[in-house]
Amino acid sequence: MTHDLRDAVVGEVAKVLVSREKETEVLLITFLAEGHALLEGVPGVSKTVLAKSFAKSLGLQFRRVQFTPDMLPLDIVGGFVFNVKDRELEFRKGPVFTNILLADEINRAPPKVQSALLESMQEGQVTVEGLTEPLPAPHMVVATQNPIEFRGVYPLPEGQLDRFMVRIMLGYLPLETELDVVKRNISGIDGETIEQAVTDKEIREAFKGVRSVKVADDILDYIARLAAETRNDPRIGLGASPRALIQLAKCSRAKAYVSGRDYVIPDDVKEMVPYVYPHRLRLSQSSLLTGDHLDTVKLVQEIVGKVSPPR
Amino acid sequence: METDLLALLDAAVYASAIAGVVMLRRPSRMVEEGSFRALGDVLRARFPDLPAGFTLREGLAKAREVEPGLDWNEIDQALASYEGYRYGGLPDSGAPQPALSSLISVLRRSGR
Repeated sequence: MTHDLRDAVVGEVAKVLVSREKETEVLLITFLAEGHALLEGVPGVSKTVLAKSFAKSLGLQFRRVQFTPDMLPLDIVGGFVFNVKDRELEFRKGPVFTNILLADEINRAPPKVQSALLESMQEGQVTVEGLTEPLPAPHMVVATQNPIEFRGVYPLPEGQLDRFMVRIMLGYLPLETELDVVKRNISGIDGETIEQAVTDKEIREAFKGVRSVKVADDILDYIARLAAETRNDPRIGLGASPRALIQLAKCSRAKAYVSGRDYVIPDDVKEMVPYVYPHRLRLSQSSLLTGDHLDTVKLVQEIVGKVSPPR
Repeated sequence: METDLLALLDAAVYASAIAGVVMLRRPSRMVEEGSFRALGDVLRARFPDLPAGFTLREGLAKAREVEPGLDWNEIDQALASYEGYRYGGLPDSGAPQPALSSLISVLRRSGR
């Protein structure tokens, strides 16, 4: 059943996306863990297609917002407009009121707009002028950003990054796979081919199933030791936050569920750490100055290799 | 009245004696737990390139490459049962696992 869910979604997305099975699985795990995902990659590596196809395969309500520097918070969350007929102010819901919101090129919007997403991502609700409106459940933000742009962008602050459960890096595909992508593309296969692969009932059951997955104390201890190591490493200026620990535990639970288990094993944690911890960490000033081309992904890999899991 | 009391006492004594025998005959989980702990040490000694943060599954994947002739199906089942007990609170399967014992001995021998 759990394998079926994963296979159904991953298989459906694979109709339009070549060699992105792992990324689709991580997106599904994040969704089932009730988190948000940040897709990062250079232009043209199918970030948007992945998000759109994923939402379509789940058959959920989907909205896409292209973030631009001239955006205002009300373009996302909505605001009060004057209803001429009733001569009253009424709240008009913004695009955030959806199941899956694709925040395309999130780092192009000014900080005010980015922070407008904060409450919705954390609390599952929006407050405008004292009016609090709950968002539809499930609710997931899938944001994309291009890491190589420096002009005309507003890098996401640490507080905002911390709210993304995972960061999925999309790199270039191997040459032979890229050829396959071109062939598929020119043959006219596109997002329209994607169909709903799972029912609403199956999604509800999956959420329930994930919540019932057991996380033993030894596993929680392992997660905490990994986080402690990021805080003690002198090359890291900002280590994993308590929220990072919670999100890693939730993610590992969803990973166990899609693997057909109702308990988490150390391998689930190890597999999810590279998606959950690196984007929350910041290198120390001295590491930035040494020019050793250190990055948080490599450091997390090193830490995972050092910290003994329970056996 | 006294006879009833004595009968009850007899029943309690016999029941506890039977329970004791059953407990003694049941394979001890400690043995299996010990086997997996030993396996962790043996894997580390046999494959010194394994990082300190290796999991049993990763260690077994390495062992599978060098010892493909063993009954890996049984070893995988033993590991899954151990994980279920260790992390999932599942009951003891109680089944003997000769393949695991032979893996440990083979790795010990080949590591010398």
